[in-house]
Amino acid sequence: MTLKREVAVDLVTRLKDKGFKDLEKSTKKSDKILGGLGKKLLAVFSVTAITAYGKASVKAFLEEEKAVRRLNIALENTAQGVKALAAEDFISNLQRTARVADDELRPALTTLINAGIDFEQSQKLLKTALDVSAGSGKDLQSVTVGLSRAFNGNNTALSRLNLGLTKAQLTAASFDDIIALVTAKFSGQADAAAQTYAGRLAAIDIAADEAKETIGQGLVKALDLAAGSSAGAETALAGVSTKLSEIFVGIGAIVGETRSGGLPGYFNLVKEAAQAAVKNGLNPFAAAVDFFTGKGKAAVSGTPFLDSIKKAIDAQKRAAELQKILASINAKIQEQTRKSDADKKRSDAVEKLRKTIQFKFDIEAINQQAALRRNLSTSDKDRLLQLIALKNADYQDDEEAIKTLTAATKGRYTEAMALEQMYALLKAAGFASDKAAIEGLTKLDPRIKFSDNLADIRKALEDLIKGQYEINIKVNMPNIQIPSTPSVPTPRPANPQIPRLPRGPGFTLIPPGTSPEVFDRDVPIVPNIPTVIPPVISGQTSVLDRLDATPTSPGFTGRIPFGTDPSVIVNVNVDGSVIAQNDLVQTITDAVYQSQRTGNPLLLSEI
Amino acid sequence: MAMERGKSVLVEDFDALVKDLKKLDPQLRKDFDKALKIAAKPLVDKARSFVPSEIRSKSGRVIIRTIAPTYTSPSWVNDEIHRDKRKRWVWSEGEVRRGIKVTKITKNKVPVGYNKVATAALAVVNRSAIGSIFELAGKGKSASQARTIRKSRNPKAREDFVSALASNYPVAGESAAGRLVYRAEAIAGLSVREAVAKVIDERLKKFVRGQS
Repeated sequence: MTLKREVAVDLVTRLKDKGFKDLEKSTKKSDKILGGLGKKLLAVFSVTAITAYGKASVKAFLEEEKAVRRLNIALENTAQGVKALAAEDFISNLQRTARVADDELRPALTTLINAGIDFEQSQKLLKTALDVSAGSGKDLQSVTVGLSRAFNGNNTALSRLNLGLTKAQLTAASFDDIIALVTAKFSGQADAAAQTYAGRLAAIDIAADEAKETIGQGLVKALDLAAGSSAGAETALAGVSTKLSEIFVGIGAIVGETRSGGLPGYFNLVKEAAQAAVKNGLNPFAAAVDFFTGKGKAAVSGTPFLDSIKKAIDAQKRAAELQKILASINAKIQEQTRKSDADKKRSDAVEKLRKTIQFKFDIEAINQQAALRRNLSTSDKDRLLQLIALKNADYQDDEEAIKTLTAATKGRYTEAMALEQMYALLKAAGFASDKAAIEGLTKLDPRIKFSDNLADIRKALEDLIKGQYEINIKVNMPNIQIPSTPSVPTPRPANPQIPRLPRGPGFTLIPPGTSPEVFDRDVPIVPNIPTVIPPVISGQTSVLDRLDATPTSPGFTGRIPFGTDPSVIVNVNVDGSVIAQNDLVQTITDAVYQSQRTGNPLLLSEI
Repeated sequence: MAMERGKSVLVEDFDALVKDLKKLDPQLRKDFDKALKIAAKPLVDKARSFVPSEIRSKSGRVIIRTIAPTYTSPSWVNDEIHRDKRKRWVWSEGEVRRGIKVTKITKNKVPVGYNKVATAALAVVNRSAIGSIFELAGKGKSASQARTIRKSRNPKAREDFVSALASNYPVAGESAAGRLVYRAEAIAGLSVREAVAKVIDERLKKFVRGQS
């Protein structure tokens, strides 16, 4: 089924001309079209036919045309106008056989015809003149002038040619006789000359001149078409020929260079130049013309235009390579930065953890916390809190330390205590996540309810910290024989899960049913390092162990964690030297008594 | 470029420009064609979305069969008077959808001036026969309708077909010009033409002529 019309929505349409003839009917349009055609013709010539000597070709053509016109006029004036075509054929043939350029033949023939000699005789005389010219070495024009004047009875010019004719012969003999004498003397000279090497070279020159004139003829026609009228050709020639010659020289230079550089390279070069022009929003054809023109100028003036293009393209390539290198360097820098950031983060975390652990075993911090639990005056408490803040600052980074110290200076101790940091340290101490940390806190004290809100947690902790400080003392001492002391009333109910230790004067620190051998263990005391003694009571965890999982941080008030064993703990730390066992026992006993008497909590941390 | 609805983008020397573009770099030409197709695609998609799976009247009766009928009665099998020798058109959604596409050549010619015609360089066509029938049924002018060859035993077959079709697929409103590509053109034609014009300006004229 052939549809005459398709079901279609046209988005883009183009013009289709019905034919050149139709268009030609419109005079306005046809002028435009012919003008365009002329330009196209010019474009064709510019890239294919015309070479660097286009300007000379045009000139040669114009010279030849002038000579032809002169000859035609001479023939017309002697009523031989119909023989103009025959004259051109004769000249054309004669220049090939005699190997003399039509530039010389045509004026010579014109001279003969102007002298009143008919066309046929002029042809014969021209051949004779060629022989004479070849034989005597005189130029053709001089010989022709001599012969033409002799035809009119004036033999003076002929005598000056020194052709070997006597004065008597020149005076007495008729023109025909003189021609017969000259012919006899110089016959065959032209043919002989044509066969010589010089003659053959002349033939090549003639062919070249012919080509030049032909090209010039085409160029002039093209210029005519381009300019719209022949009158404009001269004007157009002046402007265009320079441009064309530059283009042609450019093409010639490129062809010359391709012998060594290779054609594909130039095609690529031109292509790259065109693409670069397109990228820069230029007309690629104009760029191509500029390219060839520039090349031509370079060949003429020595400007390294092509080199500059090559350099520009090389520079672009180098810039692109440089960009790649820079990009790779940037990528490496970024990668290294990422790695260093990660390393820093890791080292920071490790450092934080290290500080956390260090803080847990910092004797000075422990003492400060212990001192805080005592009944201090407001001013003493302020000073102590500032000392604690200073200590806390030792375990903080610069930013945190500044905050802590600033807060401590202004009396904002709660802030100085940095509960948030405590919370972070809680996590660092072993809680896997926020939720785990909060759950851990909840387990420590039921008053802390599970909540995702950190502010709530903080408030609950603050409330707890504001309460009375307490200390639970539990004796963990190696190789210490503790004398029996009176029982000390227990201030608070003991944890039923943990065996209760008797307290007060006369109490024994050895739990009932526990053999003394349990205590009789060697614990190395290392100078300058706090000695942490493992629990003595079998199956019972010490508070120190629990501290590993309880809030111990800068800012933590030192309160023993909520819900922990209320039994007495004594941390024995021997710094530097071993003291007498009895002295140690006495000191601890006194401390316990004093604590019970005053009601102040006691932490025996250093002796 | 301000576009007028229903008017195509006329590029007088389109062929020469495209040829120059190809000379410049064949890849540019390919990219240009691709960009044109992408610009025209919304129109195709819209037209394809209007293709129904089956053609029924408002009452539910099948108007165009999806399977060609088979005849058993000798009087029908051998009947060449009331049946076209050509294939019996059946409705195929897939075929109709495939027939709606972007093309660079159409048979349509639009006269321009007194000695020129414009032909499509880019168009969205509804090329399947049954798709064209569905698109235009009931749209013909009286002169065109008079040329319709009636072969059915039903003397009012054409009128019945058109009225049944129009009951469910009226030719009015945005479908006034047609039911598939013309309907899509009424909805999305303007924006698509603007997109196409933009592609031509940016990828063809600017490259070849250096026009902005």
